[in-house]
Amino acid sequence: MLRYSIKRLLQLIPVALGVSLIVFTLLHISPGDPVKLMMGENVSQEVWARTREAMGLNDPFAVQYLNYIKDVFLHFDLGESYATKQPVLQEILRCFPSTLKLTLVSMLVATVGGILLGVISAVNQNKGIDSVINVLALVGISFPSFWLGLLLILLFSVQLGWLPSSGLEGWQGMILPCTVLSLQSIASLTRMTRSSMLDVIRQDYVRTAKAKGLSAAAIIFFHEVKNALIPIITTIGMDFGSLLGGAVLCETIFSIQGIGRLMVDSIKRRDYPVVQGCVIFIALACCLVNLAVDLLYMVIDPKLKKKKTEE
Amino acid sequence: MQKKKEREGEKQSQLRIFWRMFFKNKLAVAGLVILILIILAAVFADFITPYYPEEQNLQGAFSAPSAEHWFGTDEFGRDIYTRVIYGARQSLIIGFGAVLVAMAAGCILGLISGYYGGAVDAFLMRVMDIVMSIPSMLFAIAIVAALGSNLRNLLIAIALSKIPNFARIMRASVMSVKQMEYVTSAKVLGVNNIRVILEDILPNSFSPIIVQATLGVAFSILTAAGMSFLGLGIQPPTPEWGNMISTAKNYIRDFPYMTIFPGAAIMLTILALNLLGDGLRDALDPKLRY
Repeated sequence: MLRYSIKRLLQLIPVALGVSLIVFTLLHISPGDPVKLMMGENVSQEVWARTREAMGLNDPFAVQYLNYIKDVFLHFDLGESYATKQPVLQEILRCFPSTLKLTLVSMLVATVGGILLGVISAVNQNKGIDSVINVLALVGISFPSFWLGLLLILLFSVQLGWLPSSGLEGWQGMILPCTVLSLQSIASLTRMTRSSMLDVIRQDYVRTAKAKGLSAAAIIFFHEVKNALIPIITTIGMDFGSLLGGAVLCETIFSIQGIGRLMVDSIKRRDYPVVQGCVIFIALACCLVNLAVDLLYMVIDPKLKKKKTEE
Repeated sequence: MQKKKEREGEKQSQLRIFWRMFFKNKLAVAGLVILILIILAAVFADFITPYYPEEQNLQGAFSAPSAEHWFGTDEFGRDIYTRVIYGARQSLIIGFGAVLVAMAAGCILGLISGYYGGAVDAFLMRVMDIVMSIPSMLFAIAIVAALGSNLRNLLIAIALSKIPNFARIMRASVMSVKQMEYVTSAKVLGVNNIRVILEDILPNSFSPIIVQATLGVAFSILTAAGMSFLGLGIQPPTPEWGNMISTAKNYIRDFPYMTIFPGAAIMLTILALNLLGDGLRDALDPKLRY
């Protein structure tokens, strides 16, 4: 287990390097002169040349990239924001808690809601409630989240005045943003859980359990859900990335100062070091979550544990 | 000759089973019909809309839906119904365009990776892992930030982020088909690599690719609309559903209908594509057939 974990952690290194190379290259070829973006258009020729040299912008691309990753991975230094002159990491860490809170709560809501609805749906296959859940799930995955956000604001904030239309303060403030962010995941998890459960329900051991006279609830929770969990957890792990992506929209709608909002604002200000830092930061976060999901498999499925440890 | 005919006949009956399965599924047919209607509306927008999409009429701004303006007018007095219909063009171009590009590139990479294996495979798949580790929305944002926001760049951005999905499916299909006896025998007979790929491997990988493509179009349209909503996609005054909602957001308290109609258009399109995708998946899955 430990050896496998270490091996997986080491595999993260090429991924992290690759992501940083892609992002660095992209922003390297973007239009605009960094010095002018940082110091304004009216900077004198002499200052311009000196700053360029000092920032290492005259070095070849490979040297610039190596310097950048050296700073990132050895000193955790993601550069400095053009706009605020603050270290990028500091800006990100200021905004990240809001995003993390939003994403984790939404993930929790999605997991509980999705699995519950999926189980109810599968257990009642082809009955009324199954059809209702199926239709709702289908509508759920088709709903543009930013549109849903606006409709909810219209209903609950403007018309009824029950919930705040912006921010993430207190539990009332969490309701609308988390609903918006988790809806798609709830819907896709419901569908995933239902089909995974239906596969399991037909297995022999479930029939055996029934023959042994176990109660329906015991069968569902000890046999069916447990064995249906693997594909479900894969979906949750992959959803984390799309939740972080969706958080960008959600934060814009509800005016939440999160990392997504920071990124969009930075693009509009052409504050490239911040954009670069945000993308790398989020990509690494996703890699870590996927690693965690992988390790979780082994806890759930002992067969896999044996196989992976022997590798 | 005889063998070729038999093969053709088999293909036809397979197709017939597929169509029968597909048309039994009423929801899937409904999805297909809605999608065709949306495509027709986008193509013939000039004929079915009473106004020009960018025609301003400041005196008539913010008028509620009426017989004259079915969906009302926006802050410049432009007809929202007209703009919603024209908006379908942008969404469909990006949706189908991005998926076509991603499918072509992904399939080629997947084929190479699966067929040749070894170091090539390892390298390509690591690159795909890297691209997949960036959430596609963020990847699109990074690309648009670097290249600028317009239809072409948005299309490229979304296409790039979808390539790994197709490459992985294709690779998996190739790996499983490669072991089959008929492929081995074709190789033994000295049929060259490209012919083996085109005649034996490609047709067998078709169903999962088609399903992934349909759902991919839905995903691309949603992402593109989201990007435009953030102001990083199609720029006004070009009518696009996402940027219409983005503007409408500022007037949501007083003129909610401005938000409702473009949003409903996105949802209807995505719903149609999802219904179609589900139907195709069920009809193409031999396990569910009998």
